[in-house]
Amino acid sequence: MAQPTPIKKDHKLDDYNIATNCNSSFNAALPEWLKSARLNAYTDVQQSGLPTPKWERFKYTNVAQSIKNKNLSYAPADISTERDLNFVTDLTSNLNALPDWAKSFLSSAPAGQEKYQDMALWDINSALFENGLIVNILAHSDQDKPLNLTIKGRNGCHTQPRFLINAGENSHFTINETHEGEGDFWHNGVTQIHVGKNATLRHYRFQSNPDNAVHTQNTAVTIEEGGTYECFTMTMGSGLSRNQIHVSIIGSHAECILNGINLLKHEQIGDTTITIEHKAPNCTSHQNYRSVLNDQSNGIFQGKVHVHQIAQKTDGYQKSDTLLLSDTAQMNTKPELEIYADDVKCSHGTTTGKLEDTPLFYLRSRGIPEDEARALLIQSFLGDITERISDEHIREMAINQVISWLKA
Amino acid sequence: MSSIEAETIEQVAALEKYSAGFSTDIESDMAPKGLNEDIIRFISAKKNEPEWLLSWRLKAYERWLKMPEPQWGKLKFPDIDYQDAYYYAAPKSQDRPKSLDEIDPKILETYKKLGIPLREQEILAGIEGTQNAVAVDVVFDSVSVATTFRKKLKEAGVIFCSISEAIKDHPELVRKYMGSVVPYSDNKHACLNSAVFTDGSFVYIPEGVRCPMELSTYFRINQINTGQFERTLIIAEKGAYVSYLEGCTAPMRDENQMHAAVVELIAHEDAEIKYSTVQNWYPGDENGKGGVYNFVTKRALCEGRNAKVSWTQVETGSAITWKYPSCILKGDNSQGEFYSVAITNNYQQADTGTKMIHIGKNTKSRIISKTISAGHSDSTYRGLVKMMPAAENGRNFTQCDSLLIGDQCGAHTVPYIESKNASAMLEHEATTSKIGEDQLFYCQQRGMNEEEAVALIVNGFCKEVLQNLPMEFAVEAQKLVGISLEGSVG
Repeated sequence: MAQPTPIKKDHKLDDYNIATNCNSSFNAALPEWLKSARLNAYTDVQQSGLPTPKWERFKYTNVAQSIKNKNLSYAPADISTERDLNFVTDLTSNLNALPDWAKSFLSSAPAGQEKYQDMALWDINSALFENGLIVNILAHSDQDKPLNLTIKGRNGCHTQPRFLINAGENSHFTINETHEGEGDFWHNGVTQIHVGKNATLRHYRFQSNPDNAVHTQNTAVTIEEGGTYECFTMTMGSGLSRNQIHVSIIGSHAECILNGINLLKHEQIGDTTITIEHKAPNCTSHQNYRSVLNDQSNGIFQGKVHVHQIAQKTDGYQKSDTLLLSDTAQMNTKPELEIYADDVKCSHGTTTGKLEDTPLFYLRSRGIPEDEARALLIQSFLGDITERISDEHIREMAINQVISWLKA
Repeated sequence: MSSIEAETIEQVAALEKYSAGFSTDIESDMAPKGLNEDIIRFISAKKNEPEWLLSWRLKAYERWLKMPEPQWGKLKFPDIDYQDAYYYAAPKSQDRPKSLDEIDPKILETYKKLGIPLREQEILAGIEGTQNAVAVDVVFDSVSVATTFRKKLKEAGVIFCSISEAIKDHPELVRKYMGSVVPYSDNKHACLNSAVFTDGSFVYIPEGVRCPMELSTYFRINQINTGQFERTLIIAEKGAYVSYLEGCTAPMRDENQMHAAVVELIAHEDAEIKYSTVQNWYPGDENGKGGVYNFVTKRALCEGRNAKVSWTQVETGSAITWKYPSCILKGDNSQGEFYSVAITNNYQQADTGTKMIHIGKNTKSRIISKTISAGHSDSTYRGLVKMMPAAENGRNFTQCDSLLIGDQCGAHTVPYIESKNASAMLEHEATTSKIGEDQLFYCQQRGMNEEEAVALIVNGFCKEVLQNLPMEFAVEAQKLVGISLEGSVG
């Protein structure tokens, strides 16, 4: 698979004007349509600049500031897969012979751009990406083994990986991503996913970048009739992370399940921003997120369920619960509903608070030391999310990571 | 059934569609159209205001010129032409009437049509005893023309008068408190109000006094093309209690009317202020033509320990509602409450909610918001709950429920929840649904028609809020709920 490529110093990150020098990435060998798509993205970023808290969906997360302070050079992402699969191909070497669906992915406007006008991070990726993966899961295929991906950040670099995933009709597949790295870097990924008719795609992400890394990830998903997309995200790393997911449900009886755990400490900022657009009737979307915040960390959850007029009989549910472990940690929540259909069942709930005293007292009165009792309670608080993970192996991995985080 | 109740029902029943849509012809003392420094000087001079107030108005006006329109509401309306409106209109009566009999019969006629039980006051007092009496300070097109029950309030030491009178008689209080909760530079609409406000109410409850009756002001926009900019200032000293009612209605007309009010409440230690609003201004016709633009800035400051402020609102009118009654919970143990019913029908748009800013220790807030959308309308709950780092053991509970009637309307929830204190507990829940077929069927099976059934179910949906209204309003509000939804089913 993709071997680590040498770091290029040709386009430097220039404060707010990120894309200034990215013209050199308009490689002459690229097909014309891709060149023009890149140029459009490039122009858009030049006009808008990087996201600042003045942008509504970046109200609590100052991406511009955290990137501006870094002196980073571009490097292609370091992506490795555990094993070679014939339906997983490298993006760079295939840019001239892309399948139609992949072409339409790359030439389409960023998901949500039309309404929110704040997709600069996506545009930066579009203008700069050089490598990534194409995953084309064949119709009716049922793979036992998941695709395990490791995406590594490189010290002093910003990487812009692009992933194009197409789950064919009736297929079943699992993708397991691990994000890690060393030193000071910025990962700005874009993943585009299409879940075909009656297909099931499980998508797991574990992010444990070092504290000085910035991790921004845009994921856009479209789900066809009867399709299921399940996503679980575990965020433990990065000084600033933004996990933005945009789901469009375009076929009836489809299901979207988004779960996540955010474990933050020191001065970490963890932002989860979700938009689910229900554009077809009889669909279900469930979001369940839990965060545990320690030290001076800052958690952000912005979830939006947008039910279009056609999407009658929608069942939308959204829940975000947060435990604050220290007096200096803070949580900002903005669960939004935008509903234009009357025959729907939509609800959201959020809670923010500390560990309750009564269960703590109960455990301590039974001889369990305070630290252990706390860890147990936090583990059970997060258990509500981990038990929703349908992949057994991943579930265990998530629980282990929670335990080791609590011990550290 | 008491006579008042019967009459209220009768009046409200008579409100079918919008029978309040008429315009009384009273000679007005008007300032020329448009807004500039001279108009502000004119208003100030007309009202014999002190120099400090004029310079305050002018500062606000200067700020207003530079300020952008707030864009964040989920509202769509054409740009407002501020120069195409009158900023001052006062009924031409120099001498204050001594009793109701002296009041222009046309005005009394208007109230009769509206069903404001002004004449009912004495009867009310007679039946229920003076404890339950309601004092009314009527704002008739920008200037208070009648104030009843003043004597009784005076005995208790309560000051209840129009803000212009307060500026003359109690300048030290007005100067101290006006703009202390809502600064003139707060937002564009508050700025405009600060520059051109013509009247409003002033309430001062001295230390330890429990206001002997419910205070009530009926606002009425009457003059064609006059925006109404009233300013309400309520101060409750240590241990005082007051319940204040505000109810509004406006005549029917084509051009959109702009209304930008400012309400400031200050609750000192152990004081409690209860502020209730029923707003049924003209919402425009079935096609969304006309209607009032309602941009209101309402904010309360719980200044001292154990202070309590409770906002209750029933919003059924106006083409556009932009309103966020808020509480700043500064004193330790202070409490803020917000109960709201917002009903939109036809092409109405409402963007309303609250802000609860927890600053002091052990502060509590409770938000209950019920939104009902029908027809082609859109309604949004937009709220902020913020726990500051010092808000130890702060507590918030928020519940926002929306009900959709028909498939062409929208209901939205945009809550912001920010916690900077680990010991604070915040809970928020929101639901959106439609009226259950089974509930409708059950009611219809028992002989109700669909409209009645919907009104009954919606009233049940809003019960939690409506029961927080004072008696005088509760009956009217329940009927209003039904009327507002007329034509939305079937």
